[in-house]
Amino acid sequence: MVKALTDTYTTFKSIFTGMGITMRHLFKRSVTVQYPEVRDKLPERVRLKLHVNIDDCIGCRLCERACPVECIDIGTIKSTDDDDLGETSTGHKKKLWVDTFDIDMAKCCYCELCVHPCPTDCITMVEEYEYSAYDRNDLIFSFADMTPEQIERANRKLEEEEEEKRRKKEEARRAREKKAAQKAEAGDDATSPGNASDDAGGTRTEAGASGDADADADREARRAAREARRAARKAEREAKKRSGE
Amino acid sequence: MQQFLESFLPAGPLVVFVFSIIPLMIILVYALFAIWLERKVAGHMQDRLGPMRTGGWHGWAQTIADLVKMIQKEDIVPAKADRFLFKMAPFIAFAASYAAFVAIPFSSGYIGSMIDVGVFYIVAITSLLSVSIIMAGWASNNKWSLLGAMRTAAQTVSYEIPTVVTILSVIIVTGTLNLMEITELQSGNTFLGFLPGWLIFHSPFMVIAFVLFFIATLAEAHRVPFDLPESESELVGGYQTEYSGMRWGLFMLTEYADMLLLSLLGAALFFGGWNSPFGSYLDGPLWGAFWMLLKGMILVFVMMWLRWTLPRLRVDQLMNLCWKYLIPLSFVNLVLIALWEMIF
Repeated sequence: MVKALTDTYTTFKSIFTGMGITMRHLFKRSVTVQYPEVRDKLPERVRLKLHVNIDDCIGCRLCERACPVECIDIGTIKSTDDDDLGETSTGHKKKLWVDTFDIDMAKCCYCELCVHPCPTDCITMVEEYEYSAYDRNDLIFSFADMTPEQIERANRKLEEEEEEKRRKKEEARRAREKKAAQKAEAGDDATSPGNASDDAGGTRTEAGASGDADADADREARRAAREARRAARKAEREAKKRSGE
Repeated sequence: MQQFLESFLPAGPLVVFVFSIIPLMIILVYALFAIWLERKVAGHMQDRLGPMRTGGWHGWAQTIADLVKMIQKEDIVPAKADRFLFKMAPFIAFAASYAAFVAIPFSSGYIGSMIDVGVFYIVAITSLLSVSIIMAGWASNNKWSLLGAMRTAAQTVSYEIPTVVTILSVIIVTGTLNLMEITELQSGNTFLGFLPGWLIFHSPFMVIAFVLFFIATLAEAHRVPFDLPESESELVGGYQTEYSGMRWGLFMLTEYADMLLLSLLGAALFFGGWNSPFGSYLDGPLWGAFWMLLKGMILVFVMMWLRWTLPRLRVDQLMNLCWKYLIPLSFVNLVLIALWEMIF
């Protein structure tokens, strides 16, 4: 009987304690955040998405090298002397066209290792986290702002300039050799017999011809290599896309 | 009420139809509101918000959206089920709980039927509910359903005893089974001059009787902590397991209608029914309906409150509570109330 009464007392006491707690919580502020309308304040150094300020990029590829999962793909083209690419906001001189700057956020492991090596602080983590996509290829973000025409132009100009330089160099060399030969001839006239100058002339023309051929071959080889590189990169991208599908 | 309807409605059957459909309207609107309220109460008691989007203001249209969804659902009957009983069960369940509303005095001007055995009728007709649940459980041909149905049978049979005994202690005081008369007896500020003449203030034993009654009705309505027939976390859904769509919706409606029924019964028996708590102030047929439904809703809210406070009882604890505590206590209480009535 006594046990029944104490049991009853304990039961009601615990029930009313519980009801008190639930009643208190009924009027307590909810912890729910009404997400799309209201958002939690994020910590200062959140790592959510990579962003590249392409105007500041100097194409040094330090970030690409730092990435442990190789999710950054950068392609650069040397700029010609007559093109002034300007300076970055940090005062670095830009010397390279950046024709590709792809970051695959599907691969990214958010380690932020790419952010710190950047000399111009152009690659940063931003507070954007709503970029889910139906296709994983949609997670490859391209930051390069060059149009295909601009890339074509840059490539062409680079080739032209290289050719020009080579030609100038060749001319310079030829002029130098000519000068040397003339000097030698002049010296010859003064000091040594004439057959020496004949010899020198013969070798010079031979050297000149072979030099021209060499330069041509070299240029061809270089262009081929560049084409191959570009083709390989393109193929890789295509393969990526295909594997993604 | 009936005369009032006859004054502007032409035919006799139409009057009867409108007269009898009023509680249904109340139940349907109440169910829409109560299910939403239950979710809000559940949410806020757990420091959440509950439904917030549907309909704009605090998700008020959530239940309507759910209802539309339920109506669109396919009506699935398991292959090995007893088709006829399976399809009948939800209707019998709702009919049983709706039939009981006939004896509830919603206000001084409205009661479905002035039967002299009102309380007895309610107790008898709500037992049909357990029949329909057993029907549903058996016809589903599923072990979870059957287990739930068997639990219902055991639970209802056990808890009807304390319910009836506590009601009996009220009958000792009032001397009538007619709920309208019971309510009329409780009018006015008769106790100590300022307390309303409700039966709960009649004697200290009446408070005990109400607590016992409330616990027993919780079990009768299959509400937590006595929701063993459904117990979604152990029996999948109990007798509801095989049901889907609107048939399931009817079971849900029945559960909420039952909550309201037993809360209104409790309000009529212990809290003065449609009587205003301020004596003759704010009294009258319409205010009566307001007070009755308000009292009922407060008790429904307490049921929800308990649901999110207490864990579910085990089957043996359920039986233990009923047979070892509630039944002896209610009998002792009955004798004490009888003595009180003899002495005063």
